[in-house]
Amino acid sequence: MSAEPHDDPVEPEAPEEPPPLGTWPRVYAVVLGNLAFWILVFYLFTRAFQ
Amino acid sequence: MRWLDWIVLVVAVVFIVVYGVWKGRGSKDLKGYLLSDRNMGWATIALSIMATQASAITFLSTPGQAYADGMRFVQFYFGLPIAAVILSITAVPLYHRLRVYTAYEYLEGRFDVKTRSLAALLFLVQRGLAAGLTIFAPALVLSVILGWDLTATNVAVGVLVIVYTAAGGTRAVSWTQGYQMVIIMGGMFLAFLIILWRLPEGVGLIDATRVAGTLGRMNAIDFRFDLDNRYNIWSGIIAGCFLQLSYFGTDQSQVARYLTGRSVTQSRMGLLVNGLVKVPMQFFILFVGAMVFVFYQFTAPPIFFNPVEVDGVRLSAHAERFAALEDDYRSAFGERLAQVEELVAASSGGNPARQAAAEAELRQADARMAAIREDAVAVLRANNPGMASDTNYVFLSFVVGYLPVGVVGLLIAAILFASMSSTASELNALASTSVVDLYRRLFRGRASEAHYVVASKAATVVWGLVAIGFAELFRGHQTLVEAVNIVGSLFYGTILGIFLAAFYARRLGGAAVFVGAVTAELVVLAFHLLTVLGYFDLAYLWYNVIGCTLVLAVAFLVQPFLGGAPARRPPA
Repeated sequence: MSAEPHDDPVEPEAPEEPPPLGTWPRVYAVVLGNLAFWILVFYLFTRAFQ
Repeated sequence: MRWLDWIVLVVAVVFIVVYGVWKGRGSKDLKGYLLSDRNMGWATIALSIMATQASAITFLSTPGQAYADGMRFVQFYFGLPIAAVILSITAVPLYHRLRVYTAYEYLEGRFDVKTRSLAALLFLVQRGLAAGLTIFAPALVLSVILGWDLTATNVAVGVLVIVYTAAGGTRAVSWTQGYQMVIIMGGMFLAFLIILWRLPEGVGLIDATRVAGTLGRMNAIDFRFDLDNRYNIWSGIIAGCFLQLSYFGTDQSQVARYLTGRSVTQSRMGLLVNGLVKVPMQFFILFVGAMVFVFYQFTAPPIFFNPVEVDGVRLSAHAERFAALEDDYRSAFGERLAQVEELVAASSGGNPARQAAAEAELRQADARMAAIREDAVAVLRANNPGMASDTNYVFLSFVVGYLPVGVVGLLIAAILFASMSSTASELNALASTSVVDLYRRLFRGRASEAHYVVASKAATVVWGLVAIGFAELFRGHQTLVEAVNIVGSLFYGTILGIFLAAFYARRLGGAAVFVGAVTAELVVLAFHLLTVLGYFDLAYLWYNVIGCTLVLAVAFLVQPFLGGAPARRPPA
């Protein structure tokens, strides 16, 4: 068994960019809210046509 | 296919292969070949993630599922946005900070080399099997269309994918997936418009949806909790979330997509955008299938959508019985058509009583057709006991039979691209895991970068050949999309359990997690065996929950007896 070479030992981290809505919790809320929206749409869809 | 279809198909495929080889040229080290120098933006990552998950199986089998079973399969994806958020908080920044090539590399820092190797091996087994299915699906399509031998088609499709993936590496995979996704979704949208255009005059989208709903195809949401019901909102959100967490957080074919991001923000956004669009996208694909179902309410469908099986029974001792059933089916279709037209007329007339009566009559007429079809399937099965369902042929049958010349070629190219994009990611990930986690870590740790690039290309070729071999093993296995998910669920729960222990259970050492993982995998395989043998009925999505929970439970149980070091590398 041999040792593994380090990956990118001296490569600097790229500076972090801000998320589109300012903070990550807001972005996560949009993603989860979008899921809730589609579930509601599908529920209404099922009730209307099934 | 006519010559224009062939031109569209050949030009599209040649363009993608040449573009992939050209785009991926010049990678001299592993970071360039496996991580595309970590320079991708969120849009490319998002398209790459989508194209990896949406294989040809998605575009062949999903519309067929809606045709046969309705829209309820959409619930399978409800756990995905939740998983995308969880992984954006946990795994994405962690993997970025550690500058890993594969997800399994992290496990050695956290536990030990044997746990890393076990996770890598579980991934290689399940993804190697899944890659076989990914190649098999379009090979099935092409063999039906072109009359080619299925084995020869498997090999041809597989070799095409191997050439372009091995030559181009991750950069080629990611860049071509963007173009492929545009053509795939463009083709599906075109097919949807043509279906609506080909419905009889006076039958609009609302009428079509009402007809589909009357016959049970608009069942998008089911709130009933039932462990042996594969698709309801609870299995989708809870068990589906476990599956998607494991797929996006621990499956190298997906992890490699966002490891190429030039920053944590770009990688996170790539993952989250997929979380935003995946559910409506799957709904749309299912809806296309439901509209194909409605199309065949006005146009006589074949009694069975696999023409090879039908041709076979016509040459057998069952030919006379089958011909009689086909006659009955045609008559029953005429009766059902009259009821469909009555329902459309009743709906537009605004008479609720007449509409309710028409709906009841239509359901009865449809049940008569279904009963005749069931008899026909029994005859087909008597002729060929190993015969699979025709779900995967429904959409293809419509494409070839009813789409205009040129569009058929485009749709076939789209299906081929869907396969190529998923297979490319799979072979790329299988190669990176084989080389980084096993070959470089366990056997040859001090070679040059050029050596590892050559080894990665060789591993891509080898895994491509293995996938072609597996493709042959999966003939006749239910619907293809379910087969892929069942294979994934057999291993994903265990892998996820290992990673959850690594992320959150800092008191657990490598030895305890290793014992937990081996135990969990054996129990999941036993559950599946007992289910296959009919001792009980457990929906496969729950394997993910069982596997994951068992890893953690057993590891906590045996930890006091095994000891071992706590976290050697702290999580983010």
